[in-house]
Amino acid sequence: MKYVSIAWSTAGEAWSRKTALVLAALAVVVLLFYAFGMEVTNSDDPDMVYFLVLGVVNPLDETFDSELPAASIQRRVPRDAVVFFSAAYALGLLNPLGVFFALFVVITLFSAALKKQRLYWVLAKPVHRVGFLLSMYAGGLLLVLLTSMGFLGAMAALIFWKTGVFFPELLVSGLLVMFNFAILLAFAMLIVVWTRSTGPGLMLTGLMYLSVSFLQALPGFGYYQNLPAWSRLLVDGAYHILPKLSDLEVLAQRHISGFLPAQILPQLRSGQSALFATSAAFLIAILAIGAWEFQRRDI
Amino acid sequence: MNVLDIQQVSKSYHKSSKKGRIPALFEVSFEVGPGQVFGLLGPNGAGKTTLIKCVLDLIRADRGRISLQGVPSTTVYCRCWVGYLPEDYVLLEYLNAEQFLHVVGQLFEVPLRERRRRIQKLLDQVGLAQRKTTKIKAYSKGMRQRLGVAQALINNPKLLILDEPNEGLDPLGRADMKALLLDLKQQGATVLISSHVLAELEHICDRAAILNEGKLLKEGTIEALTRDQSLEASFIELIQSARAQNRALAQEGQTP
Repeated sequence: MKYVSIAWSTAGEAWSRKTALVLAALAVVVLLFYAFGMEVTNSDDPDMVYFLVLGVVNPLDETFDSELPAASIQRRVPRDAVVFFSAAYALGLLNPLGVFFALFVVITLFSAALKKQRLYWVLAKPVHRVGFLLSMYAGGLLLVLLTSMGFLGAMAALIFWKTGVFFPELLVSGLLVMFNFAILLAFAMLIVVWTRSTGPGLMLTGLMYLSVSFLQALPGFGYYQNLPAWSRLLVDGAYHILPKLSDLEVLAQRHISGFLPAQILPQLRSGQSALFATSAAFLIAILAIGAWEFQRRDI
Repeated sequence: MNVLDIQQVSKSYHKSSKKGRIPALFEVSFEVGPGQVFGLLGPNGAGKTTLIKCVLDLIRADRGRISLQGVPSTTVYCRCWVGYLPEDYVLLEYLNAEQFLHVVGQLFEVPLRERRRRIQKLLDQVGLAQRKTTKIKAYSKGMRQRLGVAQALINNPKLLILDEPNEGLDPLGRADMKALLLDLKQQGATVLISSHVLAELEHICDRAAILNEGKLLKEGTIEALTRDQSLEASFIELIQSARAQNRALAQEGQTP
């Protein structure tokens, strides 16, 4: 009961902060805009759909084949494109911009909760330090899970209302985004446990995110092919050890865009099971290191 | 059996810029018996708060042994018997007093019905019953301190630890706190209290220990410590004598 209470009060405190309210307000604005501001069902312009699809799915991929059969897309408009656009838009709010905003909300809270003045009265109670840390982590996840699932659920309901298409893939994609968020949050929490400061936690987490994105994209560059064998081994080793955040994002996109031709979607660098297994192993290792550090240090 | 048993406890901290360690406590020993109100006295930096944190396992002693009711203080379970009011703390500001005490009660796993009963009683006892639905962020320092005492008492502790409970309180707040402590003493509570306000401690405590630079200078009953002068006068005399001794040792090139 005590650990549930800690998790719940963590989520509750986050909601009492203005930043969390901004997060909720943003989601509501997007929902209202979608519900009342878009005449989506009237749009059957294939060029528009083509632009939206490319812009959202693969904005930087210049190797895309411009001879993509427009007719095949045209056949699928407007309903599928609208569904896709809505879903991608929803995930765009959550990932990566939205994910980092949520991370900011939760990490600010952690950093406040891990200050000595807060820990004194909590850890003087019969509360295990590891349990306390993991409960706070669970509370942060709960906050973002409720926010994102509420948002995506509402979006799915609106899509159903507007198009008649029931689209559960949206929620599955939301869970993939949550998994990404869980990894980033664990990493940020470890840094905050070490430094007790929000800034380094967010900056190093951002750096980690950029690094893994770079490692995932690297084989696509000619530069990578010209590297000596040992350098490639090093880069590949780092890729396999670190979480596959970019691949998880690609997987989320694939879930919501199954109707699109495969060639316009970014490719996964790992197989799905390896992707989940190594990312989960990284998550568990980071949580274990954070818990160990928190357990052994003086408050 | 003693409620609190501290034996030969030493603690030092890493220096931030240089190699080596700064001693914070050196072989401190004393006991607190059941029903005693025990004063922990000393100037700033004497090691009072460090010792309290060692008792609560917030920091780990380098050497020595601390037990609560005979159980090592590093055991999480033994903190079920302890109530603690920290010197400097931040409460859950977005809650009101009643909600906050429910959260604290949940940390001690007090059943809901019993929790409700205790919360009502404690809010009456600390004089916050009329303001129990006001958010904590709107509370004055004195009200927060009284709520701090209430949260420390919610588990009916066998040992209540109060670290500078009068810090930042105005004279009225101090009078309220003194009345509360005398009330607790009458009820037979065992209390370890650290404070600078010696005049008030003199009337509340049964025994006291005086620390200076991490060392225990003297420990005993209030009568034995004061003899024919006030506690404050005895305290100043003892600290000045210890500092003079340390200076003399330092001039001779010896470690105090």
